[in-house]
Amino acid sequence: MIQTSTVQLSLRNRLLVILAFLVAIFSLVLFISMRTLTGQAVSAAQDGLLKAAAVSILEKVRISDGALFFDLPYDTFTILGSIGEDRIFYRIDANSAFLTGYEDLPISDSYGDERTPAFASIDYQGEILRVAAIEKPVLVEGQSIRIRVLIGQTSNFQVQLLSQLTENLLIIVVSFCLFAGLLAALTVNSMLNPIRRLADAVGRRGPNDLRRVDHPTPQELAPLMTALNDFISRLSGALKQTEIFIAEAAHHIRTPLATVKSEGELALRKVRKPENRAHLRNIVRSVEQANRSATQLLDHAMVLYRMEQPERRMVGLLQCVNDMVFNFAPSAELRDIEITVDSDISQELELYLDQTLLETALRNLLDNALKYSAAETTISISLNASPDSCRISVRNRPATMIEIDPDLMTTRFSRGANATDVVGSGLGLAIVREVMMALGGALEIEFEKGGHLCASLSLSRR
Amino acid sequence: MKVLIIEDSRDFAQPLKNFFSLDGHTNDHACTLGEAREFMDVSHYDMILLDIMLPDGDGRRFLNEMRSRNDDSPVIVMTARSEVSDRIDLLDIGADDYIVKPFEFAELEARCRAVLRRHKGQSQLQLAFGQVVLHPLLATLEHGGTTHSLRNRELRLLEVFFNSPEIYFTKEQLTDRLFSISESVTENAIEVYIGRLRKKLAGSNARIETVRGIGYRLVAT
Repeated sequence: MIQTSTVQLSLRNRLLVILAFLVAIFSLVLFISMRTLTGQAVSAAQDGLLKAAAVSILEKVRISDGALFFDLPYDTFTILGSIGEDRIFYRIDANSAFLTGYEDLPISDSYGDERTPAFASIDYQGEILRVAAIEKPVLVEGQSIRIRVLIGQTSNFQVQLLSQLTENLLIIVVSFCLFAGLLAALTVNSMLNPIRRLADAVGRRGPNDLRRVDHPTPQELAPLMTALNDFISRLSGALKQTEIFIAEAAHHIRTPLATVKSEGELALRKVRKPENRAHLRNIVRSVEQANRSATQLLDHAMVLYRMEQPERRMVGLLQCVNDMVFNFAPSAELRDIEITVDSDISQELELYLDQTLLETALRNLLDNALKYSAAETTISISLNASPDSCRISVRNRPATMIEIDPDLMTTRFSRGANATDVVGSGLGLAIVREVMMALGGALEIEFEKGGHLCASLSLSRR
Repeated sequence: MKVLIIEDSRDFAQPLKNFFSLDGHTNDHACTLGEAREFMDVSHYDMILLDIMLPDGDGRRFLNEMRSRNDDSPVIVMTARSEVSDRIDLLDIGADDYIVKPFEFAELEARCRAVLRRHKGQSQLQLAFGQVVLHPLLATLEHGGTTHSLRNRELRLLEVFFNSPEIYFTKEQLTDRLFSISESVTENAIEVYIGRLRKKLAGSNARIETVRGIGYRLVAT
């Protein structure tokens, strides 16, 4: 199977990365904005309370008999104290003179009026205080005195509230992020589905199906479809040309070979001088060798091609074997060799495989058996089947029996010691072995008692 | 037997013609399908050898035409391609057999014989010498009311002698006719077959004579 080299970032991944990046940026901006707004809201709420408290204290200042009197607004303090566990600090000054409250509470740099108090965050006793500062001038015995109120509150409750709100905000933003990511993935998938469907439609086609692709596709894929159909059309033309070229090449190579061989054979009938006969025999033998090598190399190339591009269909094994025997019968007859077929199956056994590959294996096996068999012997082919597998065995009696390592026999261009006098290329059994590997089967070679050689093809029925 | 050879290469057709002539078969050669049609219009052939790629068309189409007008003359297609699918296609369109170039004459002879045997009745070939009759298609030898069946090599050897009676053939010549060039045999191998034929000819008025240093010939007694 040819593997398509995948680009490092696929279109799908690219889209997903871009969308994920945008979702992340958007989520971050959303989180920061909402966090800031929430913080501002919490802070504004506290400031409002502090302002109310400060104004309330200021309103409790009264002048009586030229003296200043304060009534502490306990109700205000109660309201402030009711929110969480926060502590309240205050100080009241008159013209920079401390009147009451916490004297060590630092006075503010600026004071506002009742409408717009000055707010600040200060560090006091190791805690951050939010303070509101207001001042108001009053006349006491004709003298203007500035009454300054500074009230502060720790921010523990606000911090806690903000932390909770942040946590919730984070959950919302992460959920949004995940949901948006999921939506992005679904959208990308849905966008790429037409491409996948097109790829499936093209992928389902057989290796010889070079028709135009008429699959419905979105408008955006129209240029791709045009290019694909254009390519198919060019490929089809190129294949047709290659096919014609191969046919013509075979014709132009084999016809002169046939001429040389025929002329050689005819000359052999007429020539009587032994030396000339030896020359002619060598010529005819070389032509035979060239032809056999060309045929087997073509076979080998075809097997390698079919291993990548198998054309599987249901194949009747018995029919296939009988066809092959019919093909070889005249050649076998020339050497008075009989080919018998014996099968233990009652009805045709069909396997789902590439017929051309199986025929190539059988042809090479039979050709080999015929070449090396002694004259006037029998080549017996047996077909046996079990529920899981089936076996085609070709048994013959070689003219010269030398036990050779079966692995060596099936090695490309390797020939047995008994083969030197017989024209051959040493590819026959190697082709058979490669075909069996492609078919998921096995080739076994066995030397039997009585000078017989048995080559078996095992195939799985599953 | 009358053979029509449809082959565009004159170089290849000539040895084929010589081969059939030497074996006593009349033959015609057509370089194109047009010529072949002309030959077939005026004569009947026992065997047609058809090439696929011809200058004025495809041999397969020609074969299709023949079969569609119910002409069932035996046709052996000579193809340069050895792929199984091509062979199956040829048989599907009505070829009786096919032979892949280059081939040995012996193989062509065997295929012609097998095809003619299947068309038995249309062409009953027999060769006679004295009172001995040879039936190549049945692979039998008949004399004095006795019929002997022949093995293929015995038959081919007898055919050589029956086609050229009284002519000497050396051991080497006979070896080349009987055995494939691609197989290795000793010249003495021929003696085995001569011995067998002599037994089968015993009692007839024909015998195979050995002349030391020259060879063998079929003579009448």
